[in-house]
Parts: sequence; structure tokens; C-alpha cells
Amino acid sequence: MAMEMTNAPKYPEVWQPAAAEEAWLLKRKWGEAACYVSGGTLLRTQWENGVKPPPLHIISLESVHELQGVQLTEGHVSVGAAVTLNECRSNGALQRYGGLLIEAIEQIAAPSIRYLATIGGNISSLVGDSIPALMAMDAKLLIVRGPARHTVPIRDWVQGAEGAREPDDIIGRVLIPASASASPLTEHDIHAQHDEWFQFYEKVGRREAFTPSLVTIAGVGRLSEDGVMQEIRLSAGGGAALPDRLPEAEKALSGSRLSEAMLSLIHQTINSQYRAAEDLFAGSEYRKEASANLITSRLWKLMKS
Amino acid sequence: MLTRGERTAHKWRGRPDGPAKVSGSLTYLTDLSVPGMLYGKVLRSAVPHAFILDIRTAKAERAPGVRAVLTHKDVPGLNRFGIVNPDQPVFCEDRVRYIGDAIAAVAADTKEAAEYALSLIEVDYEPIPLVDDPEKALQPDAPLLHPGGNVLHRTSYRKGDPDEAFGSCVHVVEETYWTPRQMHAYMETEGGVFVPEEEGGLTVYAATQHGFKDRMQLARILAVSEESIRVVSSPIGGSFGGKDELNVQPYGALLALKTGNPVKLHNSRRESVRAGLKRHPMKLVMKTGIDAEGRLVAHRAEIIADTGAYSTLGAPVLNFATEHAMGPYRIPHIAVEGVSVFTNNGVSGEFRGFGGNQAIFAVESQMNRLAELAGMDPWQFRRLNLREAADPGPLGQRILPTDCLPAVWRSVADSEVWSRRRSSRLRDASEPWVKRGVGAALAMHGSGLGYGIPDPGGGRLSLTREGKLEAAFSFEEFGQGVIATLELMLMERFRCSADDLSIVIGDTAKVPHSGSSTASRSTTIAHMALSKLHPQLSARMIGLAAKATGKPAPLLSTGPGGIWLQPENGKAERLITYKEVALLQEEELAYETEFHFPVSPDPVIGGHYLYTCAAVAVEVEVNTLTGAIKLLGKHHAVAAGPAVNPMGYIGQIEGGSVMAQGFTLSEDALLQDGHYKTENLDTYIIPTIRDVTEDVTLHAIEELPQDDPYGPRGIGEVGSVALAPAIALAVHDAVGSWITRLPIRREELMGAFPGILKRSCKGADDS
Repeated sequence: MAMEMTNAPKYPEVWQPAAAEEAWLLKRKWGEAACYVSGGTLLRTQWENGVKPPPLHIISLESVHELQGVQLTEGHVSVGAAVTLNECRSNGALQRYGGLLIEAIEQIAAPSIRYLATIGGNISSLVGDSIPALMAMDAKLLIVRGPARHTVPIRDWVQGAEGAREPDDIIGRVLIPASASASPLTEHDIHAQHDEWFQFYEKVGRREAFTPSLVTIAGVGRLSEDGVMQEIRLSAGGGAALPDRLPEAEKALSGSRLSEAMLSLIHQTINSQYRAAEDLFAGSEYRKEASANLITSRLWKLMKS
Repeated sequence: MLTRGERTAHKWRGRPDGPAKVSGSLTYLTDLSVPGMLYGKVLRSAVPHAFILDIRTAKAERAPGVRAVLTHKDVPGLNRFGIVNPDQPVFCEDRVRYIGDAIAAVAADTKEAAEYALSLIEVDYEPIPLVDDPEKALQPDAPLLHPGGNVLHRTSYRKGDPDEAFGSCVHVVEETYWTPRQMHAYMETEGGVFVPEEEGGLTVYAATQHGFKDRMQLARILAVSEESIRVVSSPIGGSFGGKDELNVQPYGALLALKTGNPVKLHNSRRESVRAGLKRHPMKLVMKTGIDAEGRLVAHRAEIIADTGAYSTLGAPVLNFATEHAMGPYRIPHIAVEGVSVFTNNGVSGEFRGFGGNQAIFAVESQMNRLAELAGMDPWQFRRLNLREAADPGPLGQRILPTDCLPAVWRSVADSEVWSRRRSSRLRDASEPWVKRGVGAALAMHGSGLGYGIPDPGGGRLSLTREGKLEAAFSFEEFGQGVIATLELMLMERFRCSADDLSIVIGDTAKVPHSGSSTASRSTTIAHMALSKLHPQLSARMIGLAAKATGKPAPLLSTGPGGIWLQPENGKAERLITYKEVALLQEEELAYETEFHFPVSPDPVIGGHYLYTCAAVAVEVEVNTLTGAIKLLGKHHAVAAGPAVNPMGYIGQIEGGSVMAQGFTLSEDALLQDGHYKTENLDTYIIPTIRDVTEDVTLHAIEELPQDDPYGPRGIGEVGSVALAPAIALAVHDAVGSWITRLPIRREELMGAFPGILKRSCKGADDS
């Protein structure tokens, strides 16, 4: 072992900037030796499990004003990245327009963790259970990059599209369209109204609660009065795979009527398109099949309703 | 049903240790701090199988805050431990055999300094090919883990001529079953505080299920007399068999004696997973045949157990699995062969159910398959084949005759959960992919350690100078409720109040030898001891009271607070307090007894004499989109004599049942190349309260044969032994898949949605 004898164990230094740009500059300064921390719930497990070494500098985002609060503005619900999952869950604007997100949050970790964990942290993990819901909701992220701010679709950010995500970026806010598509619908509503939006979210873990996801799926779309599917967005995630939209299945459904033959096609499309994770707890074949099953079964229920 | 109610009201007592546990205020031994305490850490092997070429500790010794660095050179006595056969090195000398093997230990001023010092210890390894599969370990070219080879133990039981008898069978089922490496997952990981005392003495504050056994093993390692060591071992934050063997005690003891300071060690969860015991994974190959009437004719079972790197209790676990591999059935021709094999896969050892759970899963699965071939109801099939009360035990040994089997069988047959079997498998037409099914299984489970293994019992009952009725046993409180059970036993006998009592357990300085808190034995030991001691103490106290008060002894009895007079026609009155009785004479009134746990008169090693019976029916729901299984309802029937402590009884059965649910559905400590891949409870998945159904009934069958001298039987294990096959058979009932591997793999239960839809529509049309 080539270890220096004199290096006694060190605790990391904690920085608590008040402005986002200040946080960004600290990260630029310390580079790999620094880490943004918000709730810290996931990072703790990564440090404990040796997945990541504990950083020398912790840049706390807790006091960054720009990352706080939930506002309803310009056709969006704007959720600060440092808002905790618990706060999201009880927020009025999100209850109105973020039903799918709230459904997702209710199945993330356990109550004590949701009390600390933030929406920004869940997204920046790249595998959080909120991501498939936010993709289906067509959410965007407001990214802090030094003095600049830009918005990027969450899919591009997660999938690492060209220029979308840089190492020192801070997720500033999550922008959820405050439109009919994000308005929660009960099954009752589907029966009651004609040309309406539908949405669904489902997570399958290895037990009923407090479990990593094997498979997570979400969908949002509109069913016209004459039964034609439109503006449909489907997403899937689970395990270490980056969640993604399912564009080929969306394309096949778009402008089509639901039928059992169509569902078979969708099932097949998802199964062949989705790039699922593989680990000791579930193979990728399982995850593909389960994702295809969950999505097509939800569409079948829609067809039957 | 055993619930809180009129019948149990007088015995419905919250456990004395309950409030502190629930509120988190209880101080466990790993919460202790003493002045001047150092922190200990153990360096475990970096590789699962290797020769050690060199160990260099010089850098660690010079690190700031380090007080001692120990290796094998620093062990004054036997550098080995193991309850039965001490073959596990305290510190490895020249070879490591699993990823938890200890190489060195450090004591330092802080935990961080100790951890840092570990990183400075240099070990040179020369890898040896990995032996990570028990079947490969039996191949002639496999590297040998121990001088005696890779076989720890073999078992064999034979009756009749199964090879020939299979020829006459009308139906034969042959199948292979696999069970997982389950982890005990106690909340409190292993640890404790080790305090050097005057004149070379040592006090050990660390959990174990048998304080005196730890004392013996530690004395052997330290080369000191047993009497110089005191082991304080309760309260314990869960054990389930996992803390019966030594874990961190040797390191704490050695470091404390070396430094002359108290030393604290407490495993992290990761260290606990890495070094700790697990349930034996077993592969069971079974062949079973029946005649045209559905009667069992022949049964063959081959068991291969992965015992990991060292012996600990691997041999007795295999004995127990062998004894339970033919079920509680009348089978004229039987052959069971077992082998427990050393590998580099961690260390397997004692775990609630002790090898029975694995065997019962396999044999009960065989019963349903045969019933299906015979065209019979699976429960009626069992009734036809159940052993009779006076039949010999599973290994042909004489056992205490028991009628417990038909009783638990009947309880399930009459249960509401079992009656749900006939209804449709579909929950709801709007979700035709959700299927329901019902399954049931039963078992007869041995209590005590079995023939040929020292299983001493005993206890002490006294009236202290403070006027307390004091019962002392070498039992441990690890959550099973032994304190509440002892209190109830004493209150029933003395008709006294709880305030009159003092219960002393878990401290070798204060208790007599009454054996271990294992193998569902404590309740029986306590009953037998108190049945002997209570009349002695009671008569003596009454005699003293009669003499002091001048009242006739026949009119006196023990009661709340003291000795009471009951005149023939008149109101009872308390004559004298217990404290006054205690002070009537010089020495303390104390009675002790020693005896052996009841064993069969027939010399069948490991064979049991006392058995309890358990049966369980479950209803499950399978989502065929994902293969996820949900337990909807459970009915447990347990025949184990009187429920001394009904609340504790329910707790044991429910707890055992949930533990078995994890064994069946999600738990498996995965190893890859000898390294654990489930190192924490975020990947090793145990059930949470959300996985537990509220729809549970428990039927406690409390009748015992007339003049039964052994009283209430222990129920620490029976709640866990039969649930896995019941779930597996319910899943089969729901979706038609036969389960051969635990935990049940979701892949095997799912279909493709279009196909599911076609089948369910077809099914709906057919019905």
C-alpha cells in the first residue's frame, strides 16, 4: 500500500454558499475533490458503500435561495431543486398539476428519508424514481451554469444530450407544465369525460416499500372522444439504467385507436426498444417484459374503461 | 384463536422490557461507554481464499492514537473457536478461508484512529483457487480447505428398501430444491465492551445466547480460568441463532487484556454481513413414491449443505435437516443422505429453525406434487399419510407420544383461509393478470439439542434478603420475551404480584448453569426447574411463617406481597411480608436444581424426544405482469402446550412467520467469487411492515397428553418452519408454477401481457 503514514483521517470541509453562482464557483475551484450536497441521503449510502469516496469539500445547497420554494408561474409549476420530497408532496400547486410526481414521491424510500431528500437530488442521481414521472409530464430543468441559466428537457439532461449536462452544473429548478396534461385525473374522471387526458405511474421493487426500483414506468396522453390516442408520452426506468422515453411506442400509438392488436404491437415495441438495466436482482429481460406488461396493461384498462 | 381476550386477560402482560425498547431508551450492551475506553477494530481478509505470506503491522503500531495491534502471535491460548469443533482461527496464521477471516485487531483512542490503523496493516496473500460451490468442493481435484478435507459432516438414515420399493410405486415424483443464504438481520449488530478487572480478571459485556459457553471458549483462547471471566450478555437486540457462536468477543477480550483498558467493539452492518453467520443454503434432491391409494411408500432425500469456511454448528444443523427430511409421515421405505461441505462462501451456522426450514420446504412441496398425481386434495393426502401418536420418531427413535399433528391438521382444514381455496383464482375481472391461490403445509419440529449433545438444564429459585422471589437462569433476553414468560410462570405458581419478583438472567456471575437460549428449549427448562423448586421454596416460606405467627401451615399460602392466611370461613389476610419471612433466619432461602433436557431413550445422535407441531395456510396474490407476490392472509396452527405468555407467543409466531416470508420471497445474501454483493440492508431485502398482512389468525392448541411432565414447549422456531412451502404451494395454486428455488424468482411467474390476456379471456369463457 502506497499510503502516506502521516495522513490521519480527515473530515471534509463544508461550504454553505447563499448564491447559486457562488456554489458553482466553489465547485469549479475544487473540481473532483468537491461535491454538491442537498439532502445527502443518497450520497451517504454511496460513501458508506464505497461507490464514491467521501469528498474533501462539501458544497451545501441548503442555503442557496434560488433553489428554494414552489411557485406557479408562466404556465409552469416551478419547483426549487432543494425542496424536499415531503414538501413537494404537500404542496398545493403540485397537488393540482403534479399528480404523477406526487404518486412517484410516495414510493420513494421511506418517510424519514423523504423528509431530508430533495427533488433535485433525486433527479441528479440520474436513476431516481421521480424521473420517469417527470419525463412523462414533459418537465424541464432550469440549469445553473455560472452566471448563465438555461432550460433543458429533463430527458436531454438525464440522457446526456450534446451540451445538456456538464459536471459542475447545478439543477436550479424543475419546471412542470401547468396544463391539462399534468392535472391529475382519477379513473372516475376518465369515465365521466370524453376528450381527456390520462396518466399512470407504477413502480415495482423487491418489496412493498422502501425499496430500490426494479421497474418504474409512467405515461401521459390524451384520448379523443372517438378513441384516438394523441400527445402520448411514455417512459421507463429502474435499476442502474438511465430512465428514458419510449419514442417508438409513442409513435405507434399516436393517432391510433387502442385495440388488442395495437397493444400487442406496443408490447413488442417496448420489449425491443427499452434498454433495461441488468443486475444481480433482475435481468434486463425481466425488466423489459415487466415494463412492456405494465404499460400495455394500463392502456388495456384505458381501452376497457 | 389466541388473541387478547377473556381467556388470556389474566396472562396478557406487556413485557417489562417493552416500553424501553419501543421508545429507544433501552441501553443495549453496545450502547455502553466506560471511562478510558478504547475502540477496537478487526482487519478482515481482503480475499476469500489465500495463503498469507506476510503480515506487517509496524506502520499501524506507530499511527497516532494506536494502543495495540494484535495478530495470531498475541493469542496466549488456543488460537481457535467454535462451539462444537474449534477450527475457526481467532487470527489467521498462514491462510484465509473466507472474506470475514480475521487477521489483526487494533485498539486506539478513537474509532477513526483504529480504522485508519487497519488501513496501514500490510498483508501479502498468495491466492488459492476459490471453492465457491459445495458440489465442486466434493470433486477430487478441489482444493482442500481443511486437513480433513472438504466434508464437515455426513448423515445417513435408512429404513426398509427404498430402491426396490420405488419399483412398486404407482406415482413417483423426483425434484431438486434450493434454499437461500438467509441473514439473521438483527437490528443490533455484534459488539460489546470488554473491561479488564483486578487480578487479571475480565468482564465481557457482549451478546450471546449462552454466556457460560462464551466464557469457556474465551478462557480457552486467553489461557485463563473460566472463573476469572464474567460474561454479561443481555439485553440483546436480536439474535435468531446468529449470536450463539463467538463473534467479536475474542478481539475485545485480547485487546482489553493487552492494553489494560476497557475496549469497545461494534460491527458496522457491512462488517456484520461480511463476518457473520448465515443460514445454510441447501440443495435437496428428493424422490418420493406412492401406491394406487395415495399412500407413501418410498422416499429418498439427498441434502447438500454449504457450510462455508468453518464448522461452528454445521454438523448439528445437518443432523436436524436430516431428521426433518421425511416429514411427519408414515413411510415404510426411507433413505436420507446428507453432507455438509466446506467452501469459501462465508460461514453458515445456527439460524432459527436449524436446518428444518430447508428440509420442510422440500418435503412439503413433494407432498403436493404427489397429491396432484394421485388426483387427491393435498390436505386430505397429508391426513392419509400422517404418522400416528405412538409411532417412532423420524429417525426411528422413541419419542414422547404426541397427538399434535391431527390437531394442527384439523385447524388448517377448518380455517377460513383454507376455505378460500374453492373460489375463483381471479381477483377482479378488471385486472385479469392478478391471480389468487391458497396453500398449506405442516411440520413436526424437534425441541432441544437432541440425543448425544450435552443439553444441561437447571435454575435457582430464592427468597432474597430484600424479600424478592428471585428466579435465576442462564437464559438471554434477545427479544423473545423470556423475562415476561418467567414472570408469568412465577406469578401463577406463587400467586404473587409482579412487584414481588426479581428475574436474573444473562450474567455468568449471578446465574446457575441452565444451558443455552436456543432450540426452543428455555420454556421447557424453566417449567421443569420451577415445578421442582417452587414447592420447595413455598413450603419452606410457609413453614417459617407458620412458626413465626403461630398459625397452622395448612391454612397458609403464598400470595401478593407475602404469606396469606385463609381461615375456613373468613376473609383472607396477609400475615407476613416476604421481606419479614426473609429476615426470620440468617441465610438466604435458595434452591437449585440441575437436570438434562429430555432425550429419547434410543441412542440416535441428534434425534429428538419432544416435538411440537405447526401447520400454516396462506392465501397469496400473484401479479403475472411482474411476478410480484403478495400475502393476503395467514392461518397458523401451533400445538406446543399451554401458552404461558400469550402476548409473547403471538409475537414469536408472527415474528417467525415474517422472517420465513423473507426467506421465501426476497432474502438471499448473494456472494460472487466469495465476496458478498448484498452488504447492507439496502440490497439485502427483508420484509417491512408494509409487506406484512394484517389478516393473521393464530390457533394455539394448548392441550398436552395427560400427566405430561414437560409442560409448555418452546415456540421460538415453529412459526418459521412451514410458511415457505405454504407460500410456494399457494403460488402453484394461483398460477400453476411449481416452485423449486427460494427466494421465489419473479421471472418464473410472469407472462407476456398479450398472452396473459388471451389465457384469462379463455379461462373466463370456460368457466
